[in-house]
Amino acid sequence: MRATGRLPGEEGLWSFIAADMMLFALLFGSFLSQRAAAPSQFAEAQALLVPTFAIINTIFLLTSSLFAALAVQAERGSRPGGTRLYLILTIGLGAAFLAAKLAEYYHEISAGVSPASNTFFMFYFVITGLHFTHVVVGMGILAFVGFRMRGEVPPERRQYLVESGASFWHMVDLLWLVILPIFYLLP
Amino acid sequence: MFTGVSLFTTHTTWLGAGVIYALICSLTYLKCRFVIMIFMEIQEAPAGWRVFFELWMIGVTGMIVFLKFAA
Repeated sequence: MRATGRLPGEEGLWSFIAADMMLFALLFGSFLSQRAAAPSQFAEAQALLVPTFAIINTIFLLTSSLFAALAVQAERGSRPGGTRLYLILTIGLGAAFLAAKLAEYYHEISAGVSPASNTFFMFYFVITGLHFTHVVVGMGILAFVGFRMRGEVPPERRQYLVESGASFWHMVDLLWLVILPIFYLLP
Repeated sequence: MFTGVSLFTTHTTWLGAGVIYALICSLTYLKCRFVIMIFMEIQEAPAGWRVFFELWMIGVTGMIVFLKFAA
């Protein structure tokens, strides 16, 4: 990846990204402290989750992040056609993530699980639901960026737009990388 | 590769729980570091932002490790 010597995209967006990451860090900390207080109860609840769903979603999000990074590189290399294609691929994989997540929620709810079942599932539905919302917002941002690419936008402004959208998307991916182990993988 | 190893940890019985836990924590840290430094390009960012993201990664991974031992 070509070095830039600055934060990619709009600097104001990074303050938002930092605040969002702190919010999720607090949620992760609350969940982990509750887990430490009731390890067997949490282990029983965790056993009801299907890690395969989470692994598939991780592949979707990591690949979509790769495409978002490639969109930024395409824009910096003045290949706007490549930018739009990579943005479409990123949004497509985001949609695949949402579909898989909804399928997983359906599976869990059909098994009789809900946010009111116990503390584990309260945290699970709140944190993954909040993350789900971020994925939807991220897709909206990328779609807006792709739409703006079709109009007359100065090259420097185009680059900032693509970098900003991609930065938000990478944050969404980053949060999932922590959600995966704490809910699905940790013994 | 990281994801495959993560999946491996959920289907393994011959490794001790402690080893699996350590593997998961290290993989999580490395995956986060990859996304932050390479995709988000924080390695090229001003020092303050690099410190923030390093602290975030260490903090989150540290919480996972610490609370395991606090259990």
